[in-house]
Amino acid sequence: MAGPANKRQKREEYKNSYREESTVALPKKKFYRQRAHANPFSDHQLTYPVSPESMDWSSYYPAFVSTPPGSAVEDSNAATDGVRKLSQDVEVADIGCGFGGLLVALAPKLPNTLLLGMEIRTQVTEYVQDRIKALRAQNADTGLYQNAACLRANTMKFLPNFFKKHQLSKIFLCFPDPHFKARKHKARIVSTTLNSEYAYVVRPGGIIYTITDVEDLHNWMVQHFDSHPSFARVPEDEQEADECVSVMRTETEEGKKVERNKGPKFVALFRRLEDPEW
Amino acid sequence: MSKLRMPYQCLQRSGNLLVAARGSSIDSFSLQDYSLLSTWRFPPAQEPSNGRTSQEPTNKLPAENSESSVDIAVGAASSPPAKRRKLSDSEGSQKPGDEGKGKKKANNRSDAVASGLDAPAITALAATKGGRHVIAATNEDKSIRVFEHVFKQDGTHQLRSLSQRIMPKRPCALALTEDDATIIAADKFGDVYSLPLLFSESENQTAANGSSPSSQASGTTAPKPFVPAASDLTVHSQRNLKALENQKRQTNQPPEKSEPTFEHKLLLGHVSMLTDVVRVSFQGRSYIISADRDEHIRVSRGIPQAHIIEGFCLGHTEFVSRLCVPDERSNLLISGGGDDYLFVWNWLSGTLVSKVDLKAAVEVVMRDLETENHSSGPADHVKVAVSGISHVRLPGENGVEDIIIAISEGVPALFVFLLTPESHLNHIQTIRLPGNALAVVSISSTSSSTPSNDIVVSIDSIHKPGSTTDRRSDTDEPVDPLRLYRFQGRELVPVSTLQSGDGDEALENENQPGRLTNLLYNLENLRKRDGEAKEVE
Repeated sequence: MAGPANKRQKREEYKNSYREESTVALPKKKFYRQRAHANPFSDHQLTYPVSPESMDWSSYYPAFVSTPPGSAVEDSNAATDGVRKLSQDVEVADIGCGFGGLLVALAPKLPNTLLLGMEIRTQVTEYVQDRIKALRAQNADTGLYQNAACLRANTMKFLPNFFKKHQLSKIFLCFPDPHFKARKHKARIVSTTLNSEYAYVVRPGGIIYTITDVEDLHNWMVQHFDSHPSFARVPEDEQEADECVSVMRTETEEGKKVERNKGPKFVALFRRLEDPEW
Repeated sequence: MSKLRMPYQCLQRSGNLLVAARGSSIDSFSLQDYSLLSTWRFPPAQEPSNGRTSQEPTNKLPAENSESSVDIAVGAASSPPAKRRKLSDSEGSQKPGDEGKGKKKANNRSDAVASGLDAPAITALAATKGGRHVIAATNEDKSIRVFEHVFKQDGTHQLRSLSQRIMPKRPCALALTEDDATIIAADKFGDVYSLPLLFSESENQTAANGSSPSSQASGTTAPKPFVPAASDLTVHSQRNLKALENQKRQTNQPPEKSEPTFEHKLLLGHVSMLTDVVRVSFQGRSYIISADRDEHIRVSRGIPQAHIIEGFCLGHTEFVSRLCVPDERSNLLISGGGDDYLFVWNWLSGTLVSKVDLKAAVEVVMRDLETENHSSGPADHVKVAVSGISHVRLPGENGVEDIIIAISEGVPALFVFLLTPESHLNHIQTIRLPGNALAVVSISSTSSSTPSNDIVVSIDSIHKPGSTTDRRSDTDEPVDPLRLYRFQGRELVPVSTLQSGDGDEALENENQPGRLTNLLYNLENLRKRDGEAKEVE
């Protein structure tokens, strides 16, 4: 029993001292490791807004608050006395952002777009939050990374609590849990019924990016998006011309790991089509 | 000693009949005089493993006995023959969020034998507008059954079973398309399927081959040699590599669950347990509204565009359990669940129009009950779990008035609200009942010479009022399980009780009081309990 307790203690000590020092050093990953799987059907102890309108984004994107409060400090209590509006909406979601490699790489490339990483594992979410904080501090002069944020969420259940209809222009599904066993396939992040939810939050013309190193999962994702009437696959030449694709290939943590192991990477992009008349 | 009578858990109007499910049988009543016409009984189970089934009742109405033998399970023929029925209840003890848990748990579940009932309980009823067909969802055998009303020459009525189809997961809510030809069934895993109301077996075969209900698609084709989806490029840890090697050595694919062979299409799905589904026609278009345990109410387009989500009605902070769209004001949706309020929505835009405090009204009832019984307890932690919402349109002083009636689990009362033209709900009456309200149905007959607006409510005749666990004692006066109320003006007044079939649905489960509770009161289990102390059951 000494082992885990000790580990937890060390983690706490590290995180406390890390946050107190308010250094600009990046957090150390080893203090934020967490088992790579989470049960998406479980209740967990999630916090999520009742509706997109009641979501207070101001603490996540303080630089984008349209009417900044007197003190520019992040104030988590702000939610209680009314939601402070942002000057613009979040437009890009990285679902299952992991340690945030994609977010951090994309943020400087899309400086005027708000990016949100969504991750179900608490420790990993904390890491990305600390990482973004450090990066913001490091780049205080240029104002970079103010457009990236991360929160803990179970998007399979609560995606529509965060985003309005057609709010997003891009969703990234990078190296999702492959759930190899057939019995676990229903826990995959792509399914016919979940694709309807992605179609709801993504505007027509928006793009879903998928990448995986598991061919079986790639085929699964392609099959399910192809068969969904709201999506059409983006042709390969167009896919390769998209700068987000190369970022997704090389900058995600999993992408780098697959690179080291010389594994394959399967990419597929899907465009959200206009809804037919009803 | 009075024999305990099984109460009715579902009520549904079907043309000029009222169908009511008690346990695993269905009673049909005439709406002319509310007399019992016939009872459909669950056919005796084939497997001998369940010792109790031999005690099928042998007398009663003449229709019944022929009935159980007439029952032909069309769809079932194609399903695995000796499927062991999961008998009730263990579900209640399982936390709803655990659906995705491992195999071990699943096995435990199927091992749990014997509910208080002999046969799978009916959890939902629906009826076609024409009034000819009744659809029932049964819990333990995951089936959807279709029945037909048959009036014989001698005037007797019979509910004839036309088909039984075993769904992938337990169905829990039913609706029908506008043309009455297609059933919309929501299940506990969060999926909504469409299936034809009627089908013949030959069509059935071809249809099954043609339809690929998405997710598990390719699995049904010729058996491929098993190839693990993982490879040494995707798996790195030592243990996982070892597991992979073992997998590779394995030559045959582990048997996967077979897909149902009848025609069915996946319309939409939530990653949550569904609780209710309604289909609405609005401005010439059809929509499906579905509610789940995770506070969501989703509005999707109707068939064939059910994959397009029009919007969500977000505002509940606890599970949603019942939806009601008033026929004549179909732009509105009234929803209730574990929250203290009833919500009124403009469902197409997803905007909350108003909400009304139901808990306050429930508390009054529970407090009265306390003082009557000189007991203390229930009123201190009253929780609302809306188990029924019903709409009635009354002729009023200036035109018409819309009335909404709500019931809450374990509360012996009807709560009557006026739905104002501004779409607010005003609480106008609470009617105390001699037992907990289990289901409520409104029966308005405007066509007949004397238009009347009736309410039939099902009452728990087994448990004490205000309690979902305490049994009535033998000395208590027996309570009739169905009561009729009628509107006089805006006021709802008691008329009579319905003469129900005798307590022939054997209730011999005296030693297992929890099981019945789980059939009658399953909504409170949907409440999330993260962290907080477990409530007193």
